[in-house]
Amino acid sequence: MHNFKHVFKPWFAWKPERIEDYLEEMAAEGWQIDRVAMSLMWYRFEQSELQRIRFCADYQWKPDEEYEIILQDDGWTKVAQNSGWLLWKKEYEKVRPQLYTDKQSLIDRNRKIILVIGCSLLAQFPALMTNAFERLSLRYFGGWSLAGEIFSVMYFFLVMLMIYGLIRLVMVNHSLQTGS
Amino acid sequence: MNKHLIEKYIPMTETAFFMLLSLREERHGYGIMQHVEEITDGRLRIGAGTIYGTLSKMEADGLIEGVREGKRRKTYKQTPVGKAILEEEIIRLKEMLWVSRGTGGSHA
Repeated sequence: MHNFKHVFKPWFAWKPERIEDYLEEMAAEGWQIDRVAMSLMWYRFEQSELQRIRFCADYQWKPDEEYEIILQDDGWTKVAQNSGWLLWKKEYEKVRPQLYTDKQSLIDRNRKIILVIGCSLLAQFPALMTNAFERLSLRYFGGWSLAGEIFSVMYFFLVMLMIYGLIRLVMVNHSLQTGS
Repeated sequence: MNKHLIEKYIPMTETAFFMLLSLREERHGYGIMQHVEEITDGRLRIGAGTIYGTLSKMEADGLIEGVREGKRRKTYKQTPVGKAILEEEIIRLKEMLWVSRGTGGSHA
């Protein structure tokens, strides 16, 4: 008799601890990950025995064989992977394992994410401008549609979210650098 | 020596110092982790993500070089540049120790 639980858990690049800690709590309560989907945000858990597992979400530009070998040698198992993000797990008893033990490597990793978000934001500008002009001309010259409006609003929120994420990541790196 | 590299690596973080030190001998990523833990009496356990990130950076900067033989794990070793940077850092550490002794440090 299988007992499943489906959970949608949104989390963002500037605070991966949100998903890491949540998955650890679930494992401690006996819920093991069975399936992962939707950019590591949708999980299916299966009830089994209680386990103490550390989860880590990491970002890499390109999945490198060398990277995976080093983590696997250290006892980490890959749970899932999606557009640069990798979810790792490791069982432990006393000392809670960490993927990053120094500030500099974390700062370097966050810089990569900042660069990726920054570049895709820059790439949005032509589309944003076109969209804005199109909206205006449609409003004045007819051809207005609800679907078009909704799409524009959603697109606008997505861009805002990227800008917000960028600012949060820069802030995280700043506090890492100044040690506060 | 490259001034940019000196500025980037000196003063050196503890992680970078022990990693570069352990690469006097050829080792693979996990081997470095184990060796650093051993020479620091279990005090310093470097995370796997930190090891990979630091290795990639040091290799790009020419402080270490990686060798991959067939399907075996990639191993790394100090280059002459890496050796020089490490020696520069050791001189700095020695000077700190020397100065602290000279200014009435009773611990020395």
